Formats: sequence, structure tokens, C-alpha cells
Amino acid sequence: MAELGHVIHPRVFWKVFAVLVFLTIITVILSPRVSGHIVDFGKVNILIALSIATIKASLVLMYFMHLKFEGPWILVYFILPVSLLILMIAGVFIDNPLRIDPSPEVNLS
Amino acid sequence: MAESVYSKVGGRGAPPVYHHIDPINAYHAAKFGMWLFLATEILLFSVLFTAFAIYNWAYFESFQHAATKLDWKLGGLNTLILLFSSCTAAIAVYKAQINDNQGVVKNFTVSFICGLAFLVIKYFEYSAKYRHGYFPGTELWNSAEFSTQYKNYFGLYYVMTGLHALHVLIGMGVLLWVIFLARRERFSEKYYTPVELAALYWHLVDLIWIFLFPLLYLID
Repeated sequence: MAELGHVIHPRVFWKVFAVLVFLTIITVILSPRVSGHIVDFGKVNILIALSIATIKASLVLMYFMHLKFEGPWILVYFILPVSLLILMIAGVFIDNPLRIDPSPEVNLS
Repeated sequence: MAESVYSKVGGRGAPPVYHHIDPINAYHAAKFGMWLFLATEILLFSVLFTAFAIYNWAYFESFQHAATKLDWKLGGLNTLILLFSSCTAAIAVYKAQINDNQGVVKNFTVSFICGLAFLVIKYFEYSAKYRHGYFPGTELWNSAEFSTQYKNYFGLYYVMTGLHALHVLIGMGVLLWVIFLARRERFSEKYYTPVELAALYWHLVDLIWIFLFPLLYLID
């Protein structure tokens, strides 16, 4: 039935799943607390982890959720607002260093 | 005549009859509504993500230190479980599209069991936190040693993962309902709206965890 949703073969889903697992492992390895600070980019760590997470989320949206094959209305009403949202959250990340002085560490024994 | 319209006119694998709207329009309208709902869900979690971004900057060292109190192995295991369950949920939609109701039952059951496994692991994580005293109301939490910074981190941790766990629970309920319908051979290539919408909701749960895991467990 071509009139209903687009049909994606499970073969594609398993490939996407393999890529998602691979990216998860990359995220874990890049985490300084796991690697024992061999790889450590300081405050940029969180942005790297979030960038990989965004790629993973895009894969889930495009293939698992069939978004790649949806009509224009879902794209306009979903992709556009979510893009604006990402822009605003990115704005928070840029705004933070200009407004907030990081408070000193308080140790927990 | 008081009998269900669905059982008479709809029947096995046929779309329910709405009298005023044709099945293809009904399918696309339902899916469009679901996407709007998912957008509001993303908005709900975005508020928490933004709060986390601000506090993570302000209390950077403390948040990094507090994150080491979480078990990244359990968090990672939960990530893999949710990714796998999302994959089977996507396959369930394919099974409905090729008229295989038993395939829907099997794949959604796997997703359901994965959701259950996720919650069990989450329970072990929460109870470990409670035993260590990183929980509101414990002696350590109320002591001066447990600074506002740590309370902020764990507060956000419990709200974000708690709200997410609630979504897992609701998603499991939705899956169970669709499994029940699929067991009655309710779906076909002509009508599988509930299968697709349930799968979309389940993917959203996965989507949120994809961001929660690196943010909460892997910073340091």
C-alpha cells in the first residue's frame, strides 16, 4: 500500500542499530572518566559527547521513526521547531560563559 | 445495533470506519498528531536539559565529581538495551506492513521485556544511590558536607531519569495494548496506525536516553 507509510526492510534497521552501538562505544571510550583521562578535552568533552548523541538521535529519527520518508507537513511542524529549539539551547551554551562565574569546587569525601 | 461498530465493519485487519473520513487520511492525520505530541514531549525535556546545561557550567567541578558517583557500566548497558528495543519496535512496524500480526506480537514483546530490564537496572542504580546516601532525606544528604552543588546535580539526576523512567513505564503500557490488539489479528497493510504510533512513542523514550546517558554519566 503506497498510500500509507513508507516500508523499510529490517535489514536497514539492523545496520542502523550496528552504527548506533558503534557510536555508543565511541562516546564511552572518549569519556575521560572511562579512559582514565588519556583523552581529555576539558570543557569541550560535553560538546563532543552531545554532538555524537545528536548524530545518534538523527539516525533514530530518520530510519527507526521513518522521518526521512515523511511528507512536507511533518517536516515543517517537527524539524523546523526542533531546529529552533536546538538553536536556543546552543544559545544557552554560548551565553553561559558570559554571564556565570563558575563557583569553586566543594569536595565530597 | 448497540454492538461495537469496529467488530462488524472493521473486523480483522480492516481499518475502523469513521464514516466521515477515509482510512488513508485518518492514518496521516493520526501520525501528524503523534508528531506534534512528540514535539511537546521534547519541549518538556528540553527545559531540564537547559537547566542542566546552566548548572553544569556554574558548578563544573562539582558536577564532574558528582558524575563519578554514577555507574557508567549500568548506564551503558541500559543504553544498549534501549537501542535494541527501539530496533525491534521498528521491525514490528515492518511486520504490520507485511500483514504479519504474530511478528508484531513477537517484536513488541521483546521491546516490552527490554523496557522491564531497563527499569530493573534503574531500580538497582537508585537503591545503590540510596545506600550510599546520595538521596534526599538521608543523613549524608542533610549534612553540611553535602553541598548545594551536589544537591543540584543529584536533584537534576533524579528528576531527569525519573521522568524518563515514567515515560518507559507508559510506553510499556502502550506496547502491551498494541500486543493485545495484534494477538487478535487486528492489523494489516491497510491499517497499522496503533503499531506505528506506539513505536514512535517508544523511539522517543530511546531518543531522550541517548542524550541523558552522556550528559549524566560520562562527564568528568
